[in-house]
Amino acid sequence: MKFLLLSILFAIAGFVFQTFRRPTVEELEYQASVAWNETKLAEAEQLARQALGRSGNSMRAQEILTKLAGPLQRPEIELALVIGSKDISKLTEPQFAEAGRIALYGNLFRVADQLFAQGIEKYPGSYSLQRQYASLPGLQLNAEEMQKRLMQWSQRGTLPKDLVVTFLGLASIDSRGASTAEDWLRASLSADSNDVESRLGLARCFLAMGRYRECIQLLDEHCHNPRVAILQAVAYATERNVAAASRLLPDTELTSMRSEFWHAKGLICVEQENWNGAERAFLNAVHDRPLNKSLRSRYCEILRRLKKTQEELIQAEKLEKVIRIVQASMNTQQISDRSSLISLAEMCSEVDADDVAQLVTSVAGQ
Amino acid sequence: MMLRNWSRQLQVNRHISMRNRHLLLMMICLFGMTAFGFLLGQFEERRLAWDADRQLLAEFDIQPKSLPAYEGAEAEASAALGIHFDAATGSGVTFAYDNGPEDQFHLAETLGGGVGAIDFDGDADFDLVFVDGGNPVEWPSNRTQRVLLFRCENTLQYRPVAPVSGIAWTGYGHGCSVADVNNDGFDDLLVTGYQSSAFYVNQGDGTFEESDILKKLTGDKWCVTGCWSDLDADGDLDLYIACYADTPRTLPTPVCESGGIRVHCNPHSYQAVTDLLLENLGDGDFVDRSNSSGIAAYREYGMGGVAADLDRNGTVEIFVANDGDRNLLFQQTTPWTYEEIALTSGVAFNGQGETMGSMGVACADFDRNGQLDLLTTNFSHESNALFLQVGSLTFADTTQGTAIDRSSRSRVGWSAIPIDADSDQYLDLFVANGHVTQMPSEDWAQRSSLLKGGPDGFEESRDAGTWFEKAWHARGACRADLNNDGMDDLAVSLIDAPAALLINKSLSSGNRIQLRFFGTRSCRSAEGAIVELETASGKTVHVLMRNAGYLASNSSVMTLGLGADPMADTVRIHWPSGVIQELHNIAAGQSVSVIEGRTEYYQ
Repeated sequence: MKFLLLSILFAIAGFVFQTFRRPTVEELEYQASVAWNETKLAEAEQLARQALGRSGNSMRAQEILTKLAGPLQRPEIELALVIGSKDISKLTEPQFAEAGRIALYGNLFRVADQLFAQGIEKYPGSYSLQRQYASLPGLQLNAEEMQKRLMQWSQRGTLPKDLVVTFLGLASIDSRGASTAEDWLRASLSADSNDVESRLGLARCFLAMGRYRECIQLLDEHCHNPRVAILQAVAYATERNVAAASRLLPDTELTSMRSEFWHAKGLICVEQENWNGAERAFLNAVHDRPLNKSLRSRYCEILRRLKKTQEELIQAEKLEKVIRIVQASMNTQQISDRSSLISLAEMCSEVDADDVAQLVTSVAGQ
Repeated sequence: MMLRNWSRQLQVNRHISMRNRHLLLMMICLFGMTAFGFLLGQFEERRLAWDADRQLLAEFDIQPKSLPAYEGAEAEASAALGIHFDAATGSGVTFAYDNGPEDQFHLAETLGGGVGAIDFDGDADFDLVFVDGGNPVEWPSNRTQRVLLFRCENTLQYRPVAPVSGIAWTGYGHGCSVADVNNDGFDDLLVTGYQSSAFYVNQGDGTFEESDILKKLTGDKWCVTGCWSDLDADGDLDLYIACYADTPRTLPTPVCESGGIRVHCNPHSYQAVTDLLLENLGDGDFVDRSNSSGIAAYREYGMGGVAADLDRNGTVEIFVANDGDRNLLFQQTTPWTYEEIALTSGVAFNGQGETMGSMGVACADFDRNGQLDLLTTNFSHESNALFLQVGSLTFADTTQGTAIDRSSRSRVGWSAIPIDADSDQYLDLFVANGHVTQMPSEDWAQRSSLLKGGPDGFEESRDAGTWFEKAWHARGACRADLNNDGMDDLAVSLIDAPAALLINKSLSSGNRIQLRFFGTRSCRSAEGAIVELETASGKTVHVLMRNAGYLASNSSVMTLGLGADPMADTVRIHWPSGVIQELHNIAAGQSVSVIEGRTEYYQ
């Protein structure tokens, strides 16, 4: 019994001894600074972590960790420093914006998206949060989601003209910004391999640039997700692999990616020379994304094949208007005044993109 | 007694030893406990270390993971080494295009000249014809011969044929369109130029005779590229001419400024003109169909053009590349009536919806999907545009982010020649580059591009040859097997420098065959014939197109790469007349002459 007590006492003594021989927070900060200056990054990180663990207010430790986040390619460090130990929902508006910005620039798009979403839920009037939340799907070449977010924003506040114009370009041209987006989306997927939206975005990049096999490979292990399966079906159908595309394509359209679903369906019908089926599919695809240039072009082709001359003429006129919208969206200075915006809104309306026309009109109304 | 004492002593010693041992054990245990406490302290210290970032990763289920490399990337990188061209020396081709005196800034000076592979003497060797410029302002008073013919005397040995009997053209020249227009088996020659064009009919004896009718029909139009093609499937070649701009000679040449220096103005400083569509009546006469066909309703700055059955439905479409304006694609609705469908087909603008300053055109099945694609060479900062035919006459611009984009973004492209340089069944691409004028921040002379084709598109060749390392003012270029080694070579017309003969020295050459065509129901030269080649490794589609690229005329011999396959299992020829003819089991290395409608072929 005595021995047991003695053992515990010695253990406590050992613990106390260790505690007393620990360097102070200041010493840790100093050592971390020295390690940082000597580019011993791992050591600096460990010391800074200890210092911050001991004193949550250690500014020097925070500074070193912030600096380390870059070279170590660990944006989560900087992000965690901003969020701290707080419940995310309790962040202030600037903290939401700052954390979102860090996540975005650290290629953690999924985290950024969640931060912006929670931020605007709490601060719906925040221009900065709304803007970043609405523009994020643009980085992932997701015109459908971007439109949805812009529509939501337009109900609460005033939309910036440049963002609406950017959206017009994205909605009309599949390859708009694709080559630059590729780098971001690659980085995003490397930082967070579970980010489905970035995976879909990168796949859209590959599709737009004609790199169908890369698209298929990227999506290969993830096609249990029906949205991923639809995009892979588009890639297979473009490669004329009807069997693979048909196998992947769900029986019915989903609530999102309807245009991609009908695009894949249409391509399959074309390969099967089922022209009526192709007409219906591309009509649905165009209905869902009336501003998309390539879908409209395919629809015109089917009408030409079916010798529906009158309808083809109507659709060709609409395609021409879409191209005029595209050209206008390339230069925001061209649509500097109210009348040019109104004319743009009218063109959108004429190509059956009434929702988008509404967005443009809301900008014109400023 | 002594023994008892000794025994007791031993027991005491043992007792002491036992106690010592217990003490030692206790000491060790207590030390261990102290160490445990110390370690616990350290563990606690680590536990207290800041790790909010790791919690964040767990909370969001973030798993950093490098993207796996694309499976085809390695193959692409090694394949990019495969193609190589060496510039021939001492060939006797001394021609250098003279575009005029400096500081004149006439727009015609920017276009340059063309080159054609022409077998003008019928000896089965390709001779070369070049078109020269001069002074665009003073050309009517010019007396210098502007069409230069170099006869092939021996392998890569050319001798200038001067003067060529019957050719006395002294205009300011651009293009040369070679074709057997009168179906007599000899190559005829159309020369296009600034406000003057001429058509020369080969007499079969080494001399030419000028045809007045085409001179009359072209008038003083600024004709750039002429495309011969049997547009009405009547067995003779009709003509589409892309025309550029109207520059009245009475007005002074407009001169523009950029960054404080004088430069050539862009074509929008001039009036665009309509193109020409001429029907060959088969008796040496031509009739102007420009207005009645609907072609003349379009007034753009025409530069390059191709005529081919793009959708393979039996009628020929015409694609025109325009400089700074929308491109045009004419689809035949009824004979000699055309509908312009570039917009709905997706080739009017680039994929971003932007107008391009298009110069040359290439037409081939670049992505091996069995459909003919189009490629336009464009002005700098636009990048060339590869329009893949993804549906019937529906094209998608898939250039962005590719090697075509990267290699052309800062250059002005002119001739584009699809060529399977290493015979691996994937088309490679040569593009002649050079800026139109001296711009403040851009190179005037520019390096030409050689891109290696593969299953996943193009890669810029890393071993193209020393000629490609130097900057030139390159314009027209044509493809022909100049040294008769069975591989296609290139001839390039350069402004102010001797033309280059680029001899194909690709290292990893696969097998190949060559086809010569003799139409019977179709036009004699079989221009526009589509060939499906089936080998053990797959199927490829090729089109016989002499007048393509920019201002140039290719060889009439079709070279088909077989890759590692020892023979062409099936060669299916779709003649322009609609006749489909199949040849089987043609062994690699053969040069085969095919006569329309005959099952046998000739080596």
